Amino acid sequence: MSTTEVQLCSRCKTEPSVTVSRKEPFCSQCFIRFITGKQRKAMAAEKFKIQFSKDPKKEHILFPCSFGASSLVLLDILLCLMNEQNSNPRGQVGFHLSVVYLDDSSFEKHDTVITDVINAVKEKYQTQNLPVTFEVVDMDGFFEDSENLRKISVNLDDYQTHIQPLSQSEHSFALSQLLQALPNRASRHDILQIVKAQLIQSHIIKSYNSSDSDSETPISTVLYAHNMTTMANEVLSLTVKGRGAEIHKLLTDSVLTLPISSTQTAQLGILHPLKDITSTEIQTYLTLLSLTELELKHKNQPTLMNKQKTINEIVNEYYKDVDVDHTGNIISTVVSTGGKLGDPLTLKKNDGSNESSTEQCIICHTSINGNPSPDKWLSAISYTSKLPPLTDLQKQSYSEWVESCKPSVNEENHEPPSQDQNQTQAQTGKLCYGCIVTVGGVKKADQDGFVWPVVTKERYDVDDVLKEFSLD
Amino acid sequence: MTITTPSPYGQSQAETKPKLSQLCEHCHSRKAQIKRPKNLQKICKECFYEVFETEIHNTITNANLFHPGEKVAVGASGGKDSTVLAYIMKLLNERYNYGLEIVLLSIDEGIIGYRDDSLATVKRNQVQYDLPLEIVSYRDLYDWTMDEIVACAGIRNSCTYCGVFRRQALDRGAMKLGISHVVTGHNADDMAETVLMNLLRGDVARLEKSTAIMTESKGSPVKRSKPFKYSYQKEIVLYAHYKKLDYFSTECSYAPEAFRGTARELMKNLEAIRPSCILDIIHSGENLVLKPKKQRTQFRKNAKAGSKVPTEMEVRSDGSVSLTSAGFVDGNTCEKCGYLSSNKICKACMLLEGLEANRAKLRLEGDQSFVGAAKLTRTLENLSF
Ligand code: SF4
Ligand SMILES: [Zn+2]
Ligand SMILES: [Zn+2]
Ligand SMILES: [Zn+2]
Ligand SMILES: [Zn+2]
Repeated sequence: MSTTEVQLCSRCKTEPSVTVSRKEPFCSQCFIRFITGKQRKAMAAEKFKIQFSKDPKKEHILFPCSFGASSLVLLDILLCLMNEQNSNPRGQVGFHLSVVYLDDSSFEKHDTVITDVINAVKEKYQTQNLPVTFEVVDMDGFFEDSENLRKISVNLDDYQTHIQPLSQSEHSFALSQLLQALPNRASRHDILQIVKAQLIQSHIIKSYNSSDSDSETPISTVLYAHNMTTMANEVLSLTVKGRGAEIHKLLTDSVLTLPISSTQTAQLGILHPLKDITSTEIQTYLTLLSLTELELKHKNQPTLMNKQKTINEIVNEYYKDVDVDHTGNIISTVVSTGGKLGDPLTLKKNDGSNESSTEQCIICHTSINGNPSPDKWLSAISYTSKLPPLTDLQKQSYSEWVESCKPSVNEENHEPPSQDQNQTQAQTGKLCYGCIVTVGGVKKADQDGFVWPVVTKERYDVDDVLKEFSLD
Repeated sequence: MTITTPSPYGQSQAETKPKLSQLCEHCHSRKAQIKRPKNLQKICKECFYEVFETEIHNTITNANLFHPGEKVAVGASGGKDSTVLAYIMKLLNERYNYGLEIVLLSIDEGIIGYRDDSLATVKRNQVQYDLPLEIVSYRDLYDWTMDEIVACAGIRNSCTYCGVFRRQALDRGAMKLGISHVVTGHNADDMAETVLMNLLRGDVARLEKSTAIMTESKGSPVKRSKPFKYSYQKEIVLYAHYKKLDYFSTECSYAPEAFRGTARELMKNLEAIRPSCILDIIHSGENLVLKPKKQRTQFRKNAKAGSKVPTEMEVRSDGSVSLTSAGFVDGNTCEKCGYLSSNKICKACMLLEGLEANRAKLRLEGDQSFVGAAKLTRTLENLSF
């Protein structure tokens, strides 16, 4: 092929190609159709299609949107689809779209303001004519209800979880305080992921319990903007975080049963429409449609040392390094392997100990594997030496240490166990393996410790949930 | 010389009293000298020994690895993992009365400059620990040395050949000694690495078993177990160092496959921000369970196995073979060598056939470089004896 010869798009065979994806040359239009097609396939169900009946029962889709690259592509595809359905004079858009942005601006710096981004999107897609709403949820609201806040700690000798009430002086707590108590960016990122997941969940529950707005049906489907690259990243990162048991949940497009109150459950469809698209293709899409300017920009991070990176960042670099031929083979292998995994809780053969538990982690709410339970697993493989002091010198050192542990009378820092501790002594709860490791990593000396809203009695009691999560 | 448990508290040198902040986090009476790689606790040497040994003992008893009177072979390479393993096995067997009969079993792959030197170490260990030693060589079993195989088949697949041959060699060595249990020095780092590798390579067949502490494959009369499953490599190194164990630290000249190297690098970076990640990955690995296959595919597969269609096999670097058919039929043996095999001829014989064909071809083509290299290797090898 001579250099002057223009390669033609292999799809339409008329236009010059502007990009090569999966070894195939594409023109701009065919590439966009190719990517959009993936989404349409994922959302092929009747319920998302244009409605021709007089009184259509609209599907309610929730889209947690970060306004990052992948989110913008999915948003573009969805809003274009809506506009397309809208332009049909005889029909109506088949679904209602709730775009929710979890606002982290109280502890994370951005170069762009989220409301500006949303306004630009609204204008670009003329959303005033569409059944779409944009909502900004303040992440700091996660700790708004002080009544359920508890201090959680893990005893590193037997890995038991201890739940304590906050002292009177700590009646208010902010997410940024918790983040400060965590040892590094990696564990801050882990906790933020959990906070985000729970905020989304309570958002969904809220949609089932707000009877006042009849216009909106409760949320029936959640779309996530994960692409193949971010999925592969999550598979490896979850493995590294000791949360391998959760991979199947992430990678399966499925129907999730969500308890919305003590008596009610809801069936939620979970979809990842971009799961077959690589992040390179996402970037190409954004460039071809000049959408990059809409992206919510994070403040430029100074180059991080290895120790400052998150697990996900390190895994991301790894994938880039091993993908020397830019085929993305490893990434797609990991995603398809992860897709073959199932729920170990229901699938794992009971090897002898018939101890199966349906308990949920008080932090991340995943079901805890009881076979063996994570605290037992950890205790079985860790041992604390019980060697006594022998020589006189050692005995002397030891008694000095014992002496130093006794709280001195003048020191106020060592509060004697407060009375309300007895009250809540009954409050027990377990942590999953991943959360034991995260909480165990919190510096003991830190006054804040690991504070979390713990609801142990009736986790999905409507009133509690409303009280806890309503933002207005 | 026998191992005498060193008095755990014995510190002959005149002690100086450590500052309060320098005390061991376990006993609070001795000076902390080691930061445990596993959890970064600062502990004294004596507590480290105690913790390291007891954790392995707990692993062994929790998994019921051994039974009294069992004859066990320690796969001994002379490297640090297997040297520490031999030492610890002997120590624990005596301390806790396992009632085991322990034998060292070494494989001589025929790699000049590596295995000959490391075998010398094993021979010293044999004396130091007063354990019987059996050496099985590729040369005797297969009439090929690894040096010759590399010269013939190239360096890229060296570990594939080596793995298949080693697996069978260990089995044959063990069977010769009347032993049906081989313990190997695979440590927690190896385990975690394997979990990541199986995910990255999409090795579905092995994914569920990547963290098994004991493997009893139907294709082998000898079971394998890994008492170091939860032991950090770095702690093994520390233990060998402080106990002044005699081990050989040169790596094989046919470096392990490049891909495994990248996984190792990844683990190193992860460990820097999350010291527990090795255990975390193992915990994850124990919870990776495959979804049951769809009923229909299951049916087809069985039908296929019944109709005796030859199925493809994949050989992995550790020498195991993935069976895509319904599985191994007990009692089948290799037509050529008599070794247990689910196929007509075993994996080792298949590889050997390929090698022989290659050797013949190279001879026909008069490729002197190969013949020369092999000859040279032989000569060198003879010289060393
Ligand atoms: S590195 Fe490969 S060739 Fe060398 S001894 Fe190990 S398996 Fe054999
Ligand atoms: Zn085209
Ligand atoms: Zn959890
Ligand atoms: Zn100590
Ligand atoms: Zn054979």
